[in-house]
Amino acid sequence: MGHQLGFPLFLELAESIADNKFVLGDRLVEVGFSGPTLEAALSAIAMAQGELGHARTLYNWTSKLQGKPIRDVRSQTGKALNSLVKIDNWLELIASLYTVNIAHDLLLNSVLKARPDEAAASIRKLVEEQKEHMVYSREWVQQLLQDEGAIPGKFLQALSQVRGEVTDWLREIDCTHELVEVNYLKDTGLEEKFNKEVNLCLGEQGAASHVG
Amino acid sequence: MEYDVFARIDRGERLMCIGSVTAPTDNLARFYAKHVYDEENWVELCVVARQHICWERLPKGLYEKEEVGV
Repeated sequence: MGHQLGFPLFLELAESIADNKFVLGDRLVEVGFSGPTLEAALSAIAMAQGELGHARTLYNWTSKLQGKPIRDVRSQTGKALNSLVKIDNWLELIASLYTVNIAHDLLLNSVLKARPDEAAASIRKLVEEQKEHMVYSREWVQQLLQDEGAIPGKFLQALSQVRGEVTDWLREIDCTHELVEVNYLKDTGLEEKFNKEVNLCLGEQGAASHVG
Repeated sequence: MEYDVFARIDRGERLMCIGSVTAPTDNLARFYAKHVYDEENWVELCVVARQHICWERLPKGLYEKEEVGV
């Protein structure tokens, strides 16, 4: 990719995704380790490795695009969503994993469609692996919504919070027309697609939890 | 729901029952099996809901008896 109009914005977007994945990986280890079942906890650790690997791939890609040496990844660059940094329990973890993975899927597929030749080597495998994480989080969303007592309500509360932040983030990207104009992203209306996907999964409870 | 996990380590090898997972759905059971039993690069891996196994013969009462008074 050449250094053209919109390049700094694209770098910021790629680093934001990498930061989100870095923080998610960290939270999957810290919080996912205490998952409600042994299987859920072991799967969370496996996904943490995946998310941290994706973050590293994206950091390396942005360094390469800028012609900089590959940096030793020890922390995020400060662009991760605030809700992710604050994840402190299983409900927040699943709500964040679910919503942020949908947003990442929309964004990375849009990059792949816009620049298939340049982006394919770096992110196609990542997008495929991410789909598996989406299956896990979607299944857990359904499970928590069908749970008993206060869990569905508390989960919807956690989902509403992270959903609001993801919606704002995607709206901001939708409004950054340069990314589409210079063909870094193929699609617009990411916010709408995101909410459509979430509402589809949540069913009737989807509209009630939407704060965007 | 309980699922038994079956795997084949290489082409031509026998299909083995390598363990079990508990999951609410088939998708999650497959996901759990893949990540819990990842000690080998299995050529085949599948899960079967235990309730769907058609047993022809089972030891009757063996385990129930052992659990009495536990």
